[in-house]
Amino acid sequence: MRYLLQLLVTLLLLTISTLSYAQCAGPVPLLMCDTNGDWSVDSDDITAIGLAKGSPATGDGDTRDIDKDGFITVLDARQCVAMCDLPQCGISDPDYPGYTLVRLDAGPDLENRTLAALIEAQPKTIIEMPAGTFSFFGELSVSVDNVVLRGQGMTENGGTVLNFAGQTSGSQGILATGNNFVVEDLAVEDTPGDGIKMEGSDGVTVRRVRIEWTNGPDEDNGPYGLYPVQTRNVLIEDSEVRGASDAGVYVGQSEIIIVRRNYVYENVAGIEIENSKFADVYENNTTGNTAGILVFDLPGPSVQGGEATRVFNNMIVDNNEPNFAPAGNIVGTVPAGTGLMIMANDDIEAFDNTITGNQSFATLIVSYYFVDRDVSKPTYDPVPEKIYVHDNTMSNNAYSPQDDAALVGLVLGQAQDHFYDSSGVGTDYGLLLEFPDGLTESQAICIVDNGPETSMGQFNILAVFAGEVGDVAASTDPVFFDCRHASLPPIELEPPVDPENPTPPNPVELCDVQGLGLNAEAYKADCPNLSDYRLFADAANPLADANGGVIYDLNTPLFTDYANKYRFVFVPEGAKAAYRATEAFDFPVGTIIAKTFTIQADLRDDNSAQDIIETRLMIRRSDGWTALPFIWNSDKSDAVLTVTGGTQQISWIDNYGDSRMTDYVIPNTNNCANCHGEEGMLPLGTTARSLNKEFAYDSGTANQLEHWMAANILSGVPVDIASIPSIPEWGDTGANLEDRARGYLDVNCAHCHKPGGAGDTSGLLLEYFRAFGTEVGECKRPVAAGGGSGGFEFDIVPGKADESIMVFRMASNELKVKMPEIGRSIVHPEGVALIAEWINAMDAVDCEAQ
Amino acid sequence: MPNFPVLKRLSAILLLVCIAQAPIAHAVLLSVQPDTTFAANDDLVSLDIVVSGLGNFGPDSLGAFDVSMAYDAAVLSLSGYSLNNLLGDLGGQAIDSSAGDLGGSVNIAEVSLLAAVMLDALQPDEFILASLNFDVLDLAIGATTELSILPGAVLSSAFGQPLIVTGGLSATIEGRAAVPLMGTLWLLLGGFISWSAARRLRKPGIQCRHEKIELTLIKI
Repeated sequence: MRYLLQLLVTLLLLTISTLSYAQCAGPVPLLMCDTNGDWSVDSDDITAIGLAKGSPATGDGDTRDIDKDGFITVLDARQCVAMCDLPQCGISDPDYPGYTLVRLDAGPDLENRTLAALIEAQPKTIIEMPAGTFSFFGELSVSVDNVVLRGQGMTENGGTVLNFAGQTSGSQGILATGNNFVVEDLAVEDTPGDGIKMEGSDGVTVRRVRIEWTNGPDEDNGPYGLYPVQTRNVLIEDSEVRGASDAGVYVGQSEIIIVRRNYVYENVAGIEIENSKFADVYENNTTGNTAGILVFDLPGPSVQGGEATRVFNNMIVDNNEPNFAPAGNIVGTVPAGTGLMIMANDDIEAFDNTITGNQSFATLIVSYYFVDRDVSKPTYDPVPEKIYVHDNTMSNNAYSPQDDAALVGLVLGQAQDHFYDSSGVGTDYGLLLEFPDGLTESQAICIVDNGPETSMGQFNILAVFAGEVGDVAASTDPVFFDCRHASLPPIELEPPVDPENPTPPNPVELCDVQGLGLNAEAYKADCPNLSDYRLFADAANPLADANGGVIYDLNTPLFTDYANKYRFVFVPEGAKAAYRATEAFDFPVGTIIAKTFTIQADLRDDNSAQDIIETRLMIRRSDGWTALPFIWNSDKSDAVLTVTGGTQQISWIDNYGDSRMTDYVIPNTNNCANCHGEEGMLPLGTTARSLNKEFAYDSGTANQLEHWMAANILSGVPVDIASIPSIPEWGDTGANLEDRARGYLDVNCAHCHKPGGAGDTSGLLLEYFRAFGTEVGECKRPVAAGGGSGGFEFDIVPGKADESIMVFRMASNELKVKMPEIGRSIVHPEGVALIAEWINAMDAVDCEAQ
Repeated sequence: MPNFPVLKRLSAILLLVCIAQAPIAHAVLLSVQPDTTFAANDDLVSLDIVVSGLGNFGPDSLGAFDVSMAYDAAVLSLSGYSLNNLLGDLGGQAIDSSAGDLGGSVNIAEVSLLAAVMLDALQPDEFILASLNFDVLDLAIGATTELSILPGAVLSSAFGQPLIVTGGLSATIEGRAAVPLMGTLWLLLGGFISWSAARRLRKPGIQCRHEKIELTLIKI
């Protein structure tokens, strides 16, 4: 009561303060606590009041004396904290007005503190890291909009260096999925996977960031340094990248892009703009890479149609590093010594660049047939059109062609500064798609005004590959390229948009409500303890006796290191979930799904002891689903909310009687979003196809869907339950092999590999109901597998599991290789065997020949 | 445009109402620990200013404090202080408002920027506000010097209300004999000589020489 009274008094004081003004200031009103008159109360004001403590107030109008006792004290300072416009009285940064600043010091456990700050950040927060070199062992991830991650500089001396050489979880150093994400003034070193990945964001700024693999060029390095994908409004400037085994700066499937003033060296590709449109790439220095700048459009990713890119005022110098991309990656086909390479992209203008010392080509313009004759995607255009290369300064290029570049000299008699592959255009050969026989004037390849000494040539590479020497249309006549296009307009980024719905305060007081049965209102809060929700009759036993919850099971579960899972769904009284045929059911607000993970001491004995490790809650609130990880304490009396996740050593005896041990990884809140959906979380297991099975309830065995209907928590289920698809249990050898394998992939992979999922960018889609074909991996080349390809070229080679990337990645526990990326810390050999058996049972197909 | 004179009167009325309705301030204990310390010249002495009686992880919580402690500058010299992080990290959750060493007194002050519920979750019933480190300059053996918290210490609740301060507001440092470095070395050397000699004198008939060496040691 006294507490409430204090709260009331404080609120009244605030009301007074807000209405107060200074008499001495004449007609100009003053805001109490606003010591610097900027009409905002922030930590600058609190600091000023604190330092003035002990001083007498200057009068009634002294904005520092909120309690009007005539003296400035820390009581005034503390009361003014409640007047602050921003949480924790954030300082308004001149570059980010209205943002809250959270400074992290260099004390112990910086990694966890940084992760917690990123997870708990409200929109419009600056998280500032201290100077120094720090070892990080897990991925940092942020999904909140308008977050700035800032260090003290990107250099070794005085800067902020995050070293991931010892990384044990996560597939990149930093992953950002929120809009208007900014990372600046820091360095990321030695990540097993990508340096910084930004996915699905509208608004990405990377400024003064260094990404480096400190051992220099090596195929074991991560594929991409700076990696925005499926993003919009991208700015990458004043940064450095060294050692990427694919591209230093890679912008994929994005639009409205500026890449400027960066220094990229000793990567396979310095800068790569792929399947993207509306990009300006300028004033960059690309040197010592295999290729300086690539502008590609590939059929594999889910987004195609790269176009409208300007490449200008860049230094593209001495890019002669031998190609060190892992085999199987398309970038591995790029000839060493290439300055600028354009593949299958349209409407590209390259001008005012200095292109010197690149031993194979100054510019290389090719169709997608250059790397693959099989283009079976009807919506994809493999041919480059409207390319305009002009007014560049060039010297000393094409002096010693490497790799496939040597072919040009063989066909044309000598190496060429500029080479154009006319596959698919102007000949009758190689038209795998119906395409205009020849380019119109508006589609022409124009290469002019690059100096009198530059050479240029063309022929049909596809014809040469096929041995059709008489039909290659070889020419070194510059007249073919003597044309001009109108210049492209400059790119202007759209201004960032403030988040529309700021996250409301977390009403933790709901967690303390005493009573029996379910704490029905607690779903609105992130309660500190699992017991606060009162989901179970015995707070220490989350495996049975749910307070109003319904237990359920899945046909085939996600593999998580052989953990047992106990699932309960709590639907608010009087409400029902709505049935959906393919997606997870639509649950009403207030629903809680609880999943508790235990480790069985002996997998051969169901009655052996179980160690309760974690309980994950998915909670349906009015603004969508929230995921909360709870870790059980040592005496197993309760589980504690731990948004940063954790690691716990577990041991068990496996099915073969062998003792096993591993570090079990408990996901953090953002990891939950990786699987459950970054833009809008959804439960994964509560689909009809996973739930459609018999379950032994205390009241007797029944079909789960029918039981849910009888319990009044589900509506809209088709009358004919038998007509609803049902994934077979993966280990049921009596079931159809393909169904078991596709079911296993559906549960273990399709949460990312589905349209809109985190794996959508790869173009590999693995839902149970999707017809088998290229999208499901058949003879499909990877998009950005890096070392994950294992040297193989296709996701699935029918009849050859041991040549299929899918099996290779499932069988690996190496961080940059393993799939799924999270959810397991050991390989599931039985699952790998199932997928291998399925692939081997397919009719053999020669993917190379397709 | 608001009518500011009216607002001013309204403000004043509301303020009076608030003050009239303000809850009785809660009393907390402020102490200096340890209350007695023994030290010799050149020693480093660390004293903690401790608050207790706040309620364990619940209201009341401390939202700010301003505490000064007097010391004899002829005897002690402040070498530094550190604030606890239970009002929030100084990197953005709390502000160090300390005036520091004023020569004969030291002022420590901090204002938390955290919300009351966060302070409740953070603070136990008793915790250290700050640790103060002093170098002992000149303190005779057996002499004492007192450090006392000056009147006017302000402890603020999470809502900016004053908390009544009670408790043991002073500590004493008493001089003790120093063990000089050279003396320590001589003692060690003497011990070594004694041990070596004892080994050699274990033979019967030379017990008197052993006693002589012990006398020598006492002189050292």
